[in-house]
Amino acid sequence: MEDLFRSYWWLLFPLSWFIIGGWNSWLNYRRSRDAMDLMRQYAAQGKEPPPDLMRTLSYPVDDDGWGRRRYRHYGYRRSWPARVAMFSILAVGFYWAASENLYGAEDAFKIVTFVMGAIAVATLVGGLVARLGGRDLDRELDRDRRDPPSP
Amino acid sequence: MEELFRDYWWLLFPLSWMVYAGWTGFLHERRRAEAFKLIRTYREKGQEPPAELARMALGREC
Repeated sequence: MEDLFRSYWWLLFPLSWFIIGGWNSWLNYRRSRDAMDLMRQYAAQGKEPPPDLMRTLSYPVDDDGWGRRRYRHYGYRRSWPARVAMFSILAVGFYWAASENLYGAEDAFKIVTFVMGAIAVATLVGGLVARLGGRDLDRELDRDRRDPPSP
Repeated sequence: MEELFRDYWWLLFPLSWMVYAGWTGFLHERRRAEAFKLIRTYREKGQEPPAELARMALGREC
């Protein structure tokens, strides 16, 4: 058992990411549910809910707070180059670890290098697509503000 | 058992992803259902529901 842990300790990091992501999704869901409960009270009193409360509803449940999936929000378009840089540096670091056979885990580091590189490339492509499509999204948002879609 | 894990440890990634995607999908659908309920409340009171709520109910919030 101890030998197994020594061989696969690094699995704790990616698996923790899934667990934290699931927990964040639950918290995001709770937040929007509470906001909707509050809106129900505003509706019962015939009042207009505050804009900040409405903004709570615009975040997807699997938003991780890093701007992921917030393609409609300006924050994502600003932050993606930093994320590309971060994952690229991580990929280079893990590549170095693989080439040096650090802790005797060359194969594991190769896989992590591949994953980090894939995330960097995906973030780059996603960011470029969001930037190119930004004008369309801005137009769509402006149109929705002027003429809100009916339920 | 240990040998089996050493051969198939990589399966943890796709399986974790599937569990994560199922969980977020479940939460997404629950939120949509609650948005529909809230829209119904607005309608019953003869009020216009907010645009953000309608977008969420239609799954267009992202």
